[in-house]
Amino acid sequence: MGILFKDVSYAYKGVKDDRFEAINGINLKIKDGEFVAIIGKTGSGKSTLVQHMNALLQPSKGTVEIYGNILPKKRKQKIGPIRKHVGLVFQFPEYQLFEYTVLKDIMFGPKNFGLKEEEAEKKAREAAKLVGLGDEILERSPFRISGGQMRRTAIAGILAMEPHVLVLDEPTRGLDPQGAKEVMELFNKIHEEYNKTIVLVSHDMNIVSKYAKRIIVLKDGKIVFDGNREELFLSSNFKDFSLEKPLALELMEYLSETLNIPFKPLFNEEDIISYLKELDL
Amino acid sequence: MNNIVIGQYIPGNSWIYKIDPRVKMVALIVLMVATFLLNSFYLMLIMFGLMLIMFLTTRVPFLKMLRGLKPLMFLLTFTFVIQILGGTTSESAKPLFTTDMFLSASSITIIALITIIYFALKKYIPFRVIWFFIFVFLIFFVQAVLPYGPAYKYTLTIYDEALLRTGFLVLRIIIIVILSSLLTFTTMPTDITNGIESLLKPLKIIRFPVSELAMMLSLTLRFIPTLLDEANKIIKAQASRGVELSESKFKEKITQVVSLLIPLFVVSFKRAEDMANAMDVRGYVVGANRTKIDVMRMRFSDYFSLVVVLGILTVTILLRVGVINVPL
Repeated sequence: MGILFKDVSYAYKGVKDDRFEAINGINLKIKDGEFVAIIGKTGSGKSTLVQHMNALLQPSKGTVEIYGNILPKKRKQKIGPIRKHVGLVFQFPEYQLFEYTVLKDIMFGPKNFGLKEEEAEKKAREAAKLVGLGDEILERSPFRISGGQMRRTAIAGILAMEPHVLVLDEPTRGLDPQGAKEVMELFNKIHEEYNKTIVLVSHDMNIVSKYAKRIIVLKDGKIVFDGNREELFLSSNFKDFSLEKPLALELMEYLSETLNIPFKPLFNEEDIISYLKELDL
Repeated sequence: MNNIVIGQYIPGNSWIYKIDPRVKMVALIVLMVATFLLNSFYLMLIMFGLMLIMFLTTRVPFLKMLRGLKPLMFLLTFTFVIQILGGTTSESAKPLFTTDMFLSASSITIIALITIIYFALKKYIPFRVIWFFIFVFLIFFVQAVLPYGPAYKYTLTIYDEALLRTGFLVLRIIIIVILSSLLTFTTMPTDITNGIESLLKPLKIIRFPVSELAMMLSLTLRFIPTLLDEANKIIKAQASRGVELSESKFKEKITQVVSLLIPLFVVSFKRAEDMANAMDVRGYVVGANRTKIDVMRMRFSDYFSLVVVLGILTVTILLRVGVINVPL
């Protein structure tokens, strides 16, 4: 099972009948339990790609298979069951809040997918606990809590639906460094403890290199790279992707150039520190 | 996504695009008044011809105009049928065509059958308008040719006068639509608001806040695409939480619509607040005197169009009061 893209293209219709191909001939397979990052410049088609995973967009060409359901769907087929498999957390998800209380807002998703009131509440409380929202917040209005809490509420609203795959469209955007770290740790925990598939769209190479096990690079609507972080950041044609290197890797390269420390591909600060201790200079 | 054109503006550069928006608006009103002052079919036909010539010289796509007329098709057909059936009141009317109509068992069955077939096929066939005409025609045709079975008989007489009156009304509606869509097709919404501001200027004397009104109008227009974008995002976000209006029961639909409306309100208020701050920062003062980047200037072609349009109005008034007599 999982998500399977076969020759998928999607064209946005513009003014005066011109078409803009946002993604073009995408072949991609995402298996259960993966942590995939999708990166690329603004306008490379990342958001368009991930919206297909949730049947929000339907391919103009090719097919997308989501847990056995094939898009484009037949006219009569319901789209709801497909969305149950994949939870999509949009950029600035706090804009989707609308209920009287935080708890009710988290319950909205599960209830839409046919759960009873009590079951939905149970799921909502579990999800709230998972994202670290205390019981005292659950009864407050989602418009009277802090920005970080709003984002957690929105994320909990997706988690409570218990999707197999969690698609995150720049989840750390607009958060302070501490908040961003907490949110990413949360997703990593969900990935590791509950074995959920995570698809992450991000501009932040530090986050991508730290968490993602597989990295896909999009350029002009096409996949130009698909592999792990060592292959990507150390590859000889890295410059062609017009991406930045993660800070930790740049630090490592700098150290090996200036202090002649033997180079080792490391992607976060803690690893570098322990490596340096190991070397015992 | 950033260059969505709001309204029906069609980019182009024929003469009508270069006319001052104020002139276009005044011309629209004047021509409409003139159209309503006309009182005979043949004069209306001449007016229609003039409008058609004007329309063709603007090089606005003909199909777009037809598409604009489409929603009116039902009204036009309805008018047509009522007027034809309405008969006549004047003595001088000549009957053009008379036939006996039967509301018989056979014709009513066939009419019911045609109606069912038409509504069942409606979704799948192209050229729906043409099929609609055929459908309406068939309903009457069947009544004329199927007298079998127990029947209620009546006589349908079509008078020349009724036909002319119908044509007169239909032409009038079409002219009004052509005129008003020409304005919206060839004038950008911002130009229209600027034009309105300029036209309403005299009202400043009675302390009417003209420039504020114009500012409100242009801000509203400016935020339509932004809010559309925002609404799209919210719809998608809620869709991924299971909101699918076409697939849910009525009771669920209500909560789901609320789930779209509240975030949209929140976002609009936020936007409005940001906008107010941005305007404050740039020194916007309500009621202060402001200059414009694009100053509208009347040129020869503008004056010429005004003269032509006012000429048409004068002629129609003279015709109406009987100063000029045309044997039509």
